[in-house]
Amino acid sequence: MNSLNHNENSIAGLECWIETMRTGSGYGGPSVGSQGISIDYCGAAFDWRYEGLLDGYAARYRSTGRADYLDRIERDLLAITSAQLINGTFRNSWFDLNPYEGGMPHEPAMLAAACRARKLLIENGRTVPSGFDKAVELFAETRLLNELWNRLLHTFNDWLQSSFEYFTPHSVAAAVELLIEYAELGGDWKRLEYYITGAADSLLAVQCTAGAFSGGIPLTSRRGSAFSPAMAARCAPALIKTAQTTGQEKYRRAAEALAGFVRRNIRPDGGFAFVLSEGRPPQQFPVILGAAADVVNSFDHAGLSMPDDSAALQKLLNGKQMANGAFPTAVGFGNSSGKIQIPDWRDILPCCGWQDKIYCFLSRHHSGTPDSFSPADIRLPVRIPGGRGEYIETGKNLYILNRHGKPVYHWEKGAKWALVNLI
Amino acid sequence: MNNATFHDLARSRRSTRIFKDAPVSPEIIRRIVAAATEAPTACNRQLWHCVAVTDSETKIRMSRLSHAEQSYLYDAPVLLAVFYDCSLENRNPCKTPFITAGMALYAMLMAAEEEGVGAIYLGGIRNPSGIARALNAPPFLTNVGVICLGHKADNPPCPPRRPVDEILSHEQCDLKRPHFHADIRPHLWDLRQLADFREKLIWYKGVHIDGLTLHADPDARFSDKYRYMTGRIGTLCAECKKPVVLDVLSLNGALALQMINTCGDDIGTLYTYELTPGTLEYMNAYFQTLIRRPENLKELTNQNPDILRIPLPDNRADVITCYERLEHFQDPAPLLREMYRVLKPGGKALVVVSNRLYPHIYRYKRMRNHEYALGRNWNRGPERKYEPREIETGFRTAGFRIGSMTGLQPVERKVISVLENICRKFRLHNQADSLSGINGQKFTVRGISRYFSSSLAYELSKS
Repeated sequence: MNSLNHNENSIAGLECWIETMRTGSGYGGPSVGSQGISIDYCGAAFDWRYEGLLDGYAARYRSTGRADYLDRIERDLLAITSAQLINGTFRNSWFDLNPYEGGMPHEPAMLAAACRARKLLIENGRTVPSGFDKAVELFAETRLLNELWNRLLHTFNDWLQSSFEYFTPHSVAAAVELLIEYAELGGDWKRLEYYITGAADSLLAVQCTAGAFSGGIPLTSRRGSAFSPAMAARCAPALIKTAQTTGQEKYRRAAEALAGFVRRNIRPDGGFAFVLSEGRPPQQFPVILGAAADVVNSFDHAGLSMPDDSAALQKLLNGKQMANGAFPTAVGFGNSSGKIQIPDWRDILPCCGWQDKIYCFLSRHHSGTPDSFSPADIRLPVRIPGGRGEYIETGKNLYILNRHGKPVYHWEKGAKWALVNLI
Repeated sequence: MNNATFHDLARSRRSTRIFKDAPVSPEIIRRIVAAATEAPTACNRQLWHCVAVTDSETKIRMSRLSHAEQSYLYDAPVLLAVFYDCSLENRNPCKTPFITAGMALYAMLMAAEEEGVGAIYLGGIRNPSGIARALNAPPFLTNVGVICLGHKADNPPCPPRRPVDEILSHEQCDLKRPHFHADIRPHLWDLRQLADFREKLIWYKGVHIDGLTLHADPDARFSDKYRYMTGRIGTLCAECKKPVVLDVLSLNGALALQMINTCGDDIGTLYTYELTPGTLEYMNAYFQTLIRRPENLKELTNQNPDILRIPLPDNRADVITCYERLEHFQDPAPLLREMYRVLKPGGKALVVVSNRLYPHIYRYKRMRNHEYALGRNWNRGPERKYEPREIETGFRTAGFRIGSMTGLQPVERKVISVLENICRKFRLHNQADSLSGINGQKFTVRGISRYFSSSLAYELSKS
């Protein structure tokens, strides 16, 4: 356990903010990601946000013993089960590309975390929501093995009719993690081992073995693909778990090489460059705070944690928590030189799918019970397309105003859709 | 084999697009190919040759060299590449080598069905000679396509078939349907051809994906344009209490599906209006792969094949959506009048049209060459693009009040992309990243540049 400048109140603040994102049966809110933004649809989404939330609730339960964390897990497992569609996919599971079903790596990542949380419920004599085990089976069998399995490359595709010569390693890693969980849940291990080792081997096949990116796993399997340390780190748990379940050390060695690559690329501020490509300087921005937390979570989860990782992240998070309890999403959106002083609106806008990673990190590194937290409204100057603006978030509303004070974005918390979106 | 068995087999055969990950035995492959040897051949030459491929590397080579880019080519456990030696009959006016090969192909498809094995014939291969090269076929053999074989993992519904009376006449040719133009200019298309085109073409990739995407492309719903539309519909629906929504000819049901998925509970009734029952049948089959049919979904079909009429009473819908479908009509007025009639006073219509003023490079090339054949957009049917003033006049004439107009995918995006590429070429990566960041936020515009955007999104109302 590291000593952090953050304390239990940081967690209380974040929990407080996360509760303001409750929409219908799940967690909603606008999303900003590396691929796009989804700010029209703000209803419940079933993507990787559950990864950090469920792991975080589990960590909080273990450290505080408070039963309400188990209640939250039960509630969320039920919501996940209810959001499943006939073909095994989940509603609104693309995070920053919402509102569509079939999100990768979101769906397997969410379900793998849900399976871990399920074990905690059982350990504590709680009932697993009915239909949850069937939902995992339906997703694993119908979606993953029947539709997304790539028979040529022996790995997983991102979508049904995707180009079959390429794959996304961190999506594959999420699928591997889920299949291992599914095997523990009662799946046929002998049959699943074929898929698990096949997919894990595909990660090894794309891992860089020499040069500046040695140990790195690229963003896609395309030749010349860029590297993202944060996304690459997500492959570590799958490799370690495959090593543990199959007894083959090559996966562990690959995970350790990967950890070496990620650690070599920690920025001085504790974050990670957005992407690294051969033959050009790293694209440093945006530095996504949740992604940096996700790296530490992944290493923790893989059992590869080292004190340096947490210390670096501490540096990145220190002093960033806002008065409403949330952390800004990123530093440096639309600011490739890093010289612009006013943050972009995407830097500030907190979204569940990144805050959960920070929440999970803080929950794992703090064991105390927080004092009460009193959230306050925030008003911050931001850059918006066309000039300067202002970001305002209260307990009930989220506004982005233009320089004339007119809202260019307005979401009433709890509503499925933004009321105004002129961004 | 008796007559009834043959017809049963013919009726039950479907193209299989999802295969089980299980091998097909060599004996089954032999029996399927044996059926080809029983097929009739011109001059009894019997010059077919089939190559059964199961090796992954060979499949990848076949795909790369032929630019087939179709998932079945990778996914099916067995690829049966079919060749015919056309060199002996290359001057035959009836192209008998290809007809011979076609008969053999059908025989093999039927034999596969008889064996309980799924199959799909791949004819849409961009470069069939690549298949020959990948398999080291001698130059005198012509590839006539590939049959993908494997055990079935899906059970697709049957697309509507043309009735026999439509395709059979006696003694003299008595074709009842008009000539269907292979031309994207809609003034040549009447409503019957458009209805027929939509009803048949919509099925051509099966029901697992919407009819807009190419086989190797990601889901079309991830396009920025489509996402904008989804967002606006959601917001409009949220503004009303249990609104009645009408979706007009949109996106083969994909938009309706999205509405059900994202705001199904908020919608009172969702009407989907199509030209033929076959198109709605497709939509239902597509929905059923994902959702249980909601009770608030109602289908509407055009009743008179020559007149557009939405079978709803006046002032019924709170929200109407129409996504790039006015493009099908040379004169959009009849459809706009219908939309206006059905819209409630105070209701809103969200209409997206393609902008003629945007530099669609392919379009200029076509115009220059007077080349209007269904080509690039053959799966979309006829299309015309509208100048903003022209379509706005159309809206006003129909009675609509124009609330707002947003440009989607503005022309400056194209310009910025070009600049970004130039920066990358000169290794000005920071500048290129900045431009890329600007482009990422430049999808919708409301200033003057909206008039030069790829598509125009209008929000109309009925006062």
